[in-house]
Amino acid sequence: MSRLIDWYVVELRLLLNGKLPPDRADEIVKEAESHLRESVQNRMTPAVDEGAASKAAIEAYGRPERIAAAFFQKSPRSMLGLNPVWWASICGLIAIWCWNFELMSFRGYFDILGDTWQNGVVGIAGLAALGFLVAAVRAGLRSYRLTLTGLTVGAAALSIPLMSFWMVTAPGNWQGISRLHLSRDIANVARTVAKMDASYSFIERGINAYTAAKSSADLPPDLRDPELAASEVGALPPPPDPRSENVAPGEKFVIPGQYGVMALVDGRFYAFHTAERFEEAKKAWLEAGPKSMTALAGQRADFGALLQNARAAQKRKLFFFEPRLCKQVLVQTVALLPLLLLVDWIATLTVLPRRRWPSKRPELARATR
Amino acid sequence: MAFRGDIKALILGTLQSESLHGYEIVRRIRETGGARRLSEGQVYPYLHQLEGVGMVTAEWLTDTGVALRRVYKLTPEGRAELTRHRAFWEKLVARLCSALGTGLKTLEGSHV
Repeated sequence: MSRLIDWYVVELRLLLNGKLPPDRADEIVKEAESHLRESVQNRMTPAVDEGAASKAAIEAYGRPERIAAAFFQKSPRSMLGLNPVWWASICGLIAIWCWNFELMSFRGYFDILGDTWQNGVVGIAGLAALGFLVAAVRAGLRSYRLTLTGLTVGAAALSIPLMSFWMVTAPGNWQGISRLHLSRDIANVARTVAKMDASYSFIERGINAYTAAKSSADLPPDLRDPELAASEVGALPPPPDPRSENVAPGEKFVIPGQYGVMALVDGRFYAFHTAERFEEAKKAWLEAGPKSMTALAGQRADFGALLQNARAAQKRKLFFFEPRLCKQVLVQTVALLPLLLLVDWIATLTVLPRRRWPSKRPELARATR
Repeated sequence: MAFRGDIKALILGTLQSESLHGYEIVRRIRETGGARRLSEGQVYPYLHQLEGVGMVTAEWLTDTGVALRRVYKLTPEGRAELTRHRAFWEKLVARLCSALGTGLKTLEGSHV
């Protein structure tokens, strides 16, 4: 009988070794051999010799690594008492959740040293989920790409109602308030709105004062003292730029923010900067002051709407659909799919048999000619 | 041509009238045009799976005069499953025929 069939039988047995019970592997190999030998007999004609018939029989039967993989896929497997497909699904969901942690950031994965302790925990949980996914693929001896694709698409679709319920939003505002933190964030947003109102009057007053002032002596004290200004409006300038350390110490002037206003639902609110010289401050007030007022008015309207919606949520309003937020989550969830498939593929490569076709073995290749 | 998920039904259908060995089962499925996407060897895992859930039994026959053969036989559970599959497909085909018939009649009517 052809050496090719002998090679096939040995190859299949090697691929099944250690991954299926020995009795079962023996039975599979014996049955494959029986099939192949019968197939060769039926294919042999005066025009087709044994070598060609063997090659045709093997091609029809399928490459050994494919057959082994098909048996692995149909064999009952277990990992920690559960079918690995369940582990793959759980890990996929955890990875998706970590990926979308804090509404829409990669912080869960990448900002391990971020500003909240949760980032590190979520980052480690996400990476652990990916590690477990590899373990599940290895335990299941198969790829879970279809499961992961379905899971991601399902999670992306579910994210729309989930986000609409979970996050209280307002049109035009890129931020939302989690239902878990309604009481805390309503207080924060209300405080921010009050700061915005105070800042608006402050800027209005500042523009008038700088328009009339000839020198710093003409200015009211709060425009020359950032700490006094901060105590009035509740808005502090952002942390100092390290480069400003080289500037000689002296009087500091409060100026409107050069890049508008930044307000966060957690209560942080930045609307002002500082300048070292009077001329510089005057120029900033006259140029950026009106722009800052417009930006502030816009933010005030958005935060007012957010506050109103948050109060409605407290009174049991269920859904707050904001297309921008939902789109972000939808896109980010789907964007994780290639990474999940890559992890699955790499894990599959490490565990599933690879192609070892006899064309790489000259003596067997010759036998098939 | 059958869907990939119906390979089990095809196998059960092949075994309904007589016990057969793997090679013959694969040959008959191929004759019906089923499981074209699978290689011959990929049918065996399905056979083993059916055996695992008790829908078929298998035993090695040594006195075949040709080669060692593993012969599969349908169990009552397998027969019941086959009946269920058949009923499903008959119902589906009947509905499709009915829908197509109505559609065709509507089309014919619109051309008159």
